[in-house]
Amino acid sequence: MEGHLEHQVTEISQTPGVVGVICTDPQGLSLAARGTLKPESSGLVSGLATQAASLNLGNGEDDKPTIVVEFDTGNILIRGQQNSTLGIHKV
Amino acid sequence: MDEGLQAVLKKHLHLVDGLRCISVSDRDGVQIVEVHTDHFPTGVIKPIFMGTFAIASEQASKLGVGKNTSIISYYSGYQVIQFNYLPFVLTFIADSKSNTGMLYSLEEDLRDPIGHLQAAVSVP
Amino acid sequence: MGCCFSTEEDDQGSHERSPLLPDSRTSAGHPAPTSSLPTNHLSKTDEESALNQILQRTANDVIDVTYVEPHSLERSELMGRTREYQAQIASLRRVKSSSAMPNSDQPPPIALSRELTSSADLKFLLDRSEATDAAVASMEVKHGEALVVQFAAP
Repeated sequence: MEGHLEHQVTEISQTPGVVGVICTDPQGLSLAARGTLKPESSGLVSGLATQAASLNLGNGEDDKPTIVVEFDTGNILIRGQQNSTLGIHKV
Repeated sequence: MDEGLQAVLKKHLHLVDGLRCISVSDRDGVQIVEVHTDHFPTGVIKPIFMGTFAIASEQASKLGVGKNTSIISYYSGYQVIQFNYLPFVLTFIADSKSNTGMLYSLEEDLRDPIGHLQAAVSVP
Repeated sequence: MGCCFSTEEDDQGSHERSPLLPDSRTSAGHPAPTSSLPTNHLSKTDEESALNQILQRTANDVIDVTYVEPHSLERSELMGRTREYQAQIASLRRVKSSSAMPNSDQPPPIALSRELTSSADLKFLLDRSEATDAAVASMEVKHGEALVVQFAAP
């Protein structure tokens, strides 16, 4: 069932430089989380993606933005897709 | 910053898209504080609806997986999320397409104000 | 005690499975012989209260969905309680609320002159988000056990 997704997320989390991964559904509920990105952050991650996408006026829903949130301790990269939002914490 | 509880809730009401009502009631559904936008399903905040949560949560706590802390109900037009602060109940009413995860984050922010409320208000 | 998978410890000292007689042999680790009969019977009131206790515990543990019908409050009680709450809320005037702004001690020029996210990182994110999205889309619920179970059937 969710084996494929778990595999994907584990693979991302094992990439050098990646310290946290989260995948959420369109309602902002956590589907899989690893490392520094906890399931509790799912709402904010998918919320950021949705809000950023709403800035894109008139270019259609398929044009999803990439969001980079910069911290002193690394960046969180967020990308929304049709059925999910992916967040990666990279240092 | 110091402000009234109602003002705190009002401020939070605008933090999530589609959130229409934040309400705190007692276990029988009697309202204690409530803030809402212009359009929201008024039937939900009637005691008969709100009071059901306390019972449902109590029964759900017996399933052997620990204490029930929240219940999400999705309807065709709205979603109702209720949090167990018994004897208080915190209720969010939002559009069905609203970000449920964001609403859960919002609840974390409201824990302190509700803690104050729990200390100040006694339930018969 | 829950209905199933219950791990909660019994906090009450006695229940329907606790021995009625204090048995030194049981506490020493040996099972009590089943043939040993109690020599001093419990008084009737003790028995009754034990039964009541069992009944109460069972009633507490049963998941009763037919009971999910809230008792509606009298209109007058509703109004009275609402008024009482309003008075109590009024006395609770001020609530501390946290500021929404994050703390940052970095001066703007330093924060703004940070290196841009590399295109390799962005490509990695794009590729991976497409892959996970496909994985999410392909998710389906499969049942691992029988969907219909005969419960307590003879």
